[in-house]
This record gives sequence, structure tokens and C-alpha cells, in this order.
Amino acid sequence: MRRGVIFNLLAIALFSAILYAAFAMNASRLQVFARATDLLVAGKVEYVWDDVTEDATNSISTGIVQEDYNLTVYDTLPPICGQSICNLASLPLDYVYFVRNYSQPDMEVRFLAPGANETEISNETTAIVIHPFEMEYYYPQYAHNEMFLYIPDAVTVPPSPLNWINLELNFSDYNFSGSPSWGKYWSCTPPAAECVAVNVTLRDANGTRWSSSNYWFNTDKKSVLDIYFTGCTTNVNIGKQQAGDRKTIDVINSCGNAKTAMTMNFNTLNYWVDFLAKIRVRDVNYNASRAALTTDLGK
Amino acid sequence: MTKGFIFTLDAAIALFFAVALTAAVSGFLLSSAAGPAADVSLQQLAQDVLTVMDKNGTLKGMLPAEGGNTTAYAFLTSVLPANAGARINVTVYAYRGDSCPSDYCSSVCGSCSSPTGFCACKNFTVSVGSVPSSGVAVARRFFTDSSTNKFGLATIEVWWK
Repeated sequence: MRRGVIFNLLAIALFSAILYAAFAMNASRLQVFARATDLLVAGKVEYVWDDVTEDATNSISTGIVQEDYNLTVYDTLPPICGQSICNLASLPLDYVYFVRNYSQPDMEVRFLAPGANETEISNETTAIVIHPFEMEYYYPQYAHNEMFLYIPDAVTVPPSPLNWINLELNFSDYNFSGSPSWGKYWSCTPPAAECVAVNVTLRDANGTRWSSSNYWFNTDKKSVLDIYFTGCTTNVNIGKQQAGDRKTIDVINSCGNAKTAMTMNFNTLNYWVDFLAKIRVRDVNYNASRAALTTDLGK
Repeated sequence: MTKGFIFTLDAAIALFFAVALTAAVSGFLLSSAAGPAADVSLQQLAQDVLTVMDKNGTLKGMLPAEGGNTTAYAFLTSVLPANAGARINVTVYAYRGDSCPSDYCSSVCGSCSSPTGFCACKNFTVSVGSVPSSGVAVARRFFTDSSTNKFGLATIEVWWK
């Protein structure tokens, strides 16, 4: 009788141990599944973000090189986009439409304006912003052959963080017809608050080089460089059109394609660039997302 | 005699339950060890294959109107592990605003289907092995060529053989 009780107790203990082990295994298995799912979702979000960011930055014919005190923006006016003319503002939108139409239903991809949280990217918000000076490199809406560099008034006030600007234009389709000349030139003497040093260098399709002898510009007034080609004229405008306007360097190319390189030299390394937009990828089912500026790609 | 028979029966039933429980636990153990890990590595493989195809220019090389199948097959056979199979589908689109007239599509694509903003210029599928009914990881990748204004979408399915 006593032996039977002991056997029964032993059997119950063994049975309970096996049951406990089974439950523990199950709990552990669920934990592993949860972690694996997290890993899968995070991997997918990161993967889609990387894919979209790479394509979006490759889709525009603009390059930015930040090298110590020099920041150079390379561009083509108008950009060469095969069947249709495109620019920084329009081509990413094509890509935005493509991603919207053909991305996986569970992966939400959004292109956000710099600094904005939920605003979708639009033509108006596409600009390269140089912080903390708030200088902007941008295009007038729907214009395919014109670009601006906006220089806030405060930037030129001594001690100005902007030492000089170097603007190079290489025209690939036309040759100079006579020497380029300043139709209007407003000089100044540094360190006046409106003074900006700008060096302009031009090359035509033959490789003929022209370099401006004027260096200091009074940006409260508008200086105009006329570049004559056979059959067309291109302009570089430096300064405000009129009092109250934005202070800009404005390049309007009406003569085929021109490769441009605008280098800004600052007296500090404490500047950074916001480029294009933020791209946010979200897994709808798991509410996991990554949102970052496209310039974070290389960091 | 009767007591011995009852003891033996009791031991047999106990053994049966023990074996059944051990099998169940082992089943859990095996599935928990292989399942998610296999999913993660398979997903990683699918994403890696497409990333390499994109970054080394293989996908961009498929944007022209003709070809791509042979290149895709050669690439998959060269990079896939021996114990993995894959099927890739590539579709190339051209964009033309809200609507995409067939004459535009044919001028850009050579031929056209689905002219609704995006013309589908071409579509092909290449497979290395046959797709199983389960255990398949799927990854997608966009690719573009701004000089021709074309957009591509590659979808790959990968599985362990």
C-alpha cells in the first residue's frame, strides 16, 4: 500500500516535470519567434529605406561634396533626363509616384520635407539647405534651366561665415560669340555688410575659358553677366533684383546644357546640409519605421 | 499473477505517456530552433541577392527593351548557395504623367501594356529550381535610370532546397 503511494507520487512528479518542461519550451519558442519577427521587420524596413534613398539620390543630377571648409554643389542645367526634361523638383516626384504605386502594401514609403514630420515632398519644398546659415540652393518652380542660391542678409554681415563663392559653368553645346561681359556690375569694398566675393569661370563647348576680373559684389543691387553665344544668351545675376528682394545668385541657362559647380567657402567647419527630404519607411503591420534625412546615408 | 499483469500494464501505459510527451517536447524544441532562424537567414539571402544585383548594375542593365533573362539566370546561379533556389521577376516601367498613351509607350518601350501613368515596358521571370508551396522568402527592390526615365521593380523569391 505504502509502496503504491510512493510509486504514484513519483509518477505524478515525473509527469509534472515533463509538463513543466513542455510549457517552458513553448514559452521560449514564442520568445524566439517574437525576436526573430522583430529582426525580420527591422531588416525589411532598413532594406527598403536604403533602396529608396539610394534611388532617390541617384535620380537627380545633383551632387554635393562637403570637404572641410568647402561645400560644392554640382549640377546640370537643364538636367538631362532622356525623353522628358526634368530637374531636382520633378524627377524625384516621378520616383515618388512609382514607389507609391508599386511598393508592397505593408510597407509605407513617404517622402517628407526637411524638418517636417508629415508633409509630403512637393516642388516647393525641394531645396538644399545649408545650416546654420539657412542658405538655400533651389530651383524656381517648373523652371528647368534656372537655379538660385539664396544668401540671407545676415550671412554677409561681418564677421561673415561665407568667405567666397566660386561659380563654374561649362557649356557643352555652344561656343562664345564675343567675350562675356558684365552688363551691370555693382562693386563694393569689404568688409561692407553687403559685400560678397564671387569668382565666375566659364568654358564653352570648344574649351575656351573665361574668368571674371570682378570679385567683390554689392549684393544689395543686381549685377548681370551676359554670356553671348551664337543664337542665344545666358545670364548670371548676382544680388537683389530690387530692395526687399531675396539676395540670390541666379543662373539662367538658355543655351543647351551646362554643367555647373558652385563652391562655397566658409570660415567654420560647423555647418551641415539638408538635402532633398526625409524618407520614412514604415511596416504597417508592426508599426516599425525608420525616418531619416537622405544625407544620413553615408554616416 | 493478476498483480504482475497490472504492474506491467501500468508500466506500459506510463512508458507510452512518457514517450509521447518526450516526442512533443522534442517537436517544440526542433521547430523553435530551426523555424525563425531559417526565416531570418532566408530573408537576408533574398535581400542580399537583390542588393548586389542593384549595386553592381545588373538590374540597371535590364532596363533596355530587350534581354535580361539570360543575365538574371547567370547571376542567380553564380551567387546562390547550392542548397537554395530562387525565382526573380523583373518589370520595367516608363512614366508619363496621369495617362500614358500607347504611342508614347511604344516609342519608349518598343511595346506597351497597362498604360495608366506608368507604361509596363517589359516583364520576365527567371527561375532556378521549382518554387515550393511554403518556406519562401520574398524581397523587392526598385531601380531607376534617370537618363532614360525608366523605373524597374525586381521581386525575388528564395527558398531552401
